[in-house]
Amino acid sequence: MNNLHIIHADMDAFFAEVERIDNPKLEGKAVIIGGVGLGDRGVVSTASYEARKYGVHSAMPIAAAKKLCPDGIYLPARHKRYSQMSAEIFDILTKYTPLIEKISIDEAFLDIKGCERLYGKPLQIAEKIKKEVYSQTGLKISIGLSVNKFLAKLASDFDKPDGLTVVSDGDIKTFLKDLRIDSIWGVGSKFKKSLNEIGINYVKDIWPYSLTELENLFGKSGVKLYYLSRGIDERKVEVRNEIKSVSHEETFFDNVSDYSEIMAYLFKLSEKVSFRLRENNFYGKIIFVKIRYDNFSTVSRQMSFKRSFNSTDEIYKFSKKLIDDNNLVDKEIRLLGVGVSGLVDENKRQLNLFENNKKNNEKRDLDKIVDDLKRKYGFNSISKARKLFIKDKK
Amino acid sequence: MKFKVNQKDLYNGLNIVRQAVATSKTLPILTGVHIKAVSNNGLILKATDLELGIEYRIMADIEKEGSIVLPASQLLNIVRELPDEEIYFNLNKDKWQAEIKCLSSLFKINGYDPDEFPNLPEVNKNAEFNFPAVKLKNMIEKVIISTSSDETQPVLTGALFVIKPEEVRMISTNTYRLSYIEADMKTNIDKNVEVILPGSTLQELNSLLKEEGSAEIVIDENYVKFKFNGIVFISRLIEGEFPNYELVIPDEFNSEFYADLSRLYKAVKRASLIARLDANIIKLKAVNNMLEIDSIEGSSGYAHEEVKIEMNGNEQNINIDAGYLLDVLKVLDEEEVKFEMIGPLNPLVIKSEQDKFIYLIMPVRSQS
Repeated sequence: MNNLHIIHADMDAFFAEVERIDNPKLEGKAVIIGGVGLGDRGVVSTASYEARKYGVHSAMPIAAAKKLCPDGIYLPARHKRYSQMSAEIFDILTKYTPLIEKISIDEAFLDIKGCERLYGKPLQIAEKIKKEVYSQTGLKISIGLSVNKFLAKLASDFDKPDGLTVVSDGDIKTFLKDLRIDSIWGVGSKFKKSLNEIGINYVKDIWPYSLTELENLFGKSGVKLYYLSRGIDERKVEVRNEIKSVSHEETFFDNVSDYSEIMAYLFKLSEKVSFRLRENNFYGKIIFVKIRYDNFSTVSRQMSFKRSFNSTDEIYKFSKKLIDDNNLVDKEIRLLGVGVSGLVDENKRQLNLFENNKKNNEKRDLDKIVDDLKRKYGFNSISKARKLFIKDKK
Repeated sequence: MKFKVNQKDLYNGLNIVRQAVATSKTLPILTGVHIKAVSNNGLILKATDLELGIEYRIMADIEKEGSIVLPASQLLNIVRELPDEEIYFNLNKDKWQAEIKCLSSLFKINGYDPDEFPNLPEVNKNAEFNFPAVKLKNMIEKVIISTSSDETQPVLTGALFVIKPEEVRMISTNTYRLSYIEADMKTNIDKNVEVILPGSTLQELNSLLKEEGSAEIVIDENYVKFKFNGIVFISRLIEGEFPNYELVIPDEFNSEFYADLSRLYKAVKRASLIARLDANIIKLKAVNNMLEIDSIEGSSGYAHEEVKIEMNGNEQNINIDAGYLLDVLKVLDEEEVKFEMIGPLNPLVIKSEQDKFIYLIMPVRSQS
């Protein structure tokens, strides 16, 4: 019995394609999208297929990309615009099935079981989605259609861009056999190396090993490898629509080592995080900070509270405490991030005996007024003087 | 130093002072017990982690006076395993080593120079009064439950101790619930005193206090001293400002009801078996002399309980953390509990009339 019901939908070079749609002159050009206005210090977030021919890929430092592809068109990311496009695309996907697991802004799993009566056979659904996305947005999407998430994801990647690959029960062996071992989910560079050492280079090389042998060799990862190499994956498509955390981070134009300036950035980020929490009526219980140093080493620290919070002051105070207690600013910093998780809906919140005092009410009112002003006149229209420690970088 | 002491007496004494022995090895000598042999006075055992200090005297035959600091856990382990007989101690002062003999057993334990061991702080007599041990223990048990474990607000990890000329109070809160208890007591102090006792101090004190006798209490700005059953117990106080508890204790209510303590406890406990799989939130509905307890709809299932109550006033609904209710039901000693309510967003008030005890639980907002 053929059980094709999982679709992996993945936009092709999403950010670069959105830019191309907004500016047709970019058609056929090597377009590279980096961070917002960061010059050479950011990393590539998306490269168009033309740029990929030069060896440019995402997560590569912009400076390195410029060496490989000096004539490319380098554009800052416009996340608002991409989110807007993404929402349009997800609106289309939602028409076909409610069972959608959003992986990122441009990628999702769909479970289309039971949708055949409405929209036709699985392959027809996949074709309809591709067509509709293209006709409504002008963007191309690659689709993998298979019996589980693992195979669907491999399939969508198989014939990019604008691909549509179907892997049905009968094709699994043929499809998997010559794939490189690191195309299996969970096989990173380290695991790959130890597999290569015992002569496993392709998926088919795993097949002679028994479950027990793989378990003895690699433990839990070995068990996973055994099943995935045979195309067995029991993970379900999980609908996730709730927000799990709210965070903001910023890569600096120049590395920062001045404590006051770092705290000023921290305040700015705290403002952003708390603003968004309040916009969504959320309180958080866990605060986390992330710091990337000049040498690209990254640390993050977190702290949980029994009480929930969302005021700018508290988020700044707690994140500052995390940084101070762990002594995190002892060298030059290139990226700073702050976030809050453990979110609680305002409407389900544990109330506090002492929050209704004058001081707290004043603070809450102040946050509210500042939020209103920010909404009306722009985010930077009002802030605490602390933010003045951020040095002007033209 | 040379003395003999009964195994049981020594073991008992070490068990009392061990509560103040430092657990961290930052200052190694503080992981030891200071032992001082005084002619005609027995052995004085002393331990401190600089937050808490305990001194306790036991009977012993002193042949030669002197003192030493010995590693507490090592000594305690040895004494525990020795038979119920006389133990002979002898000090080799050159090496700060103690020789311990009991029947055919012989141990040599390396210790520390006793002069390096810190003295327990002197407590000035800003306020001094006597308090029946049974009352003190009861107050501590009622406030311990509401202390906070959040180290970012140190003040809330302890309990406020208020001493007035004719009344003593203890209050603790983690801001979501609050315990308040008072006792009539002629303290003979002339000015009100308010200090914050650390939560850990309350725990240790509770385990050492017996139901009989009385405790002598001395308080100054930084320390509190309790003397009872031959134990001297000194603790540092927590600095800071305790929240204004008087403002949050409601002085009115719209409905009140009485419930049988053990029935209610069992019902809440059962409902919590399901509720705790999610956030441990239960919904209480008091109407027509019946208290309905429901687990809040979550992914894990559903529970419903009913308990008969005697009620005055209109229907009441409130969502609360089941754990907060169970905690208080466990420490109450009456057969009947009294509840007072204003509304779904005001604290649920539990009162014990014989004790002058008030317990508040702040609700969780309902989803509607």
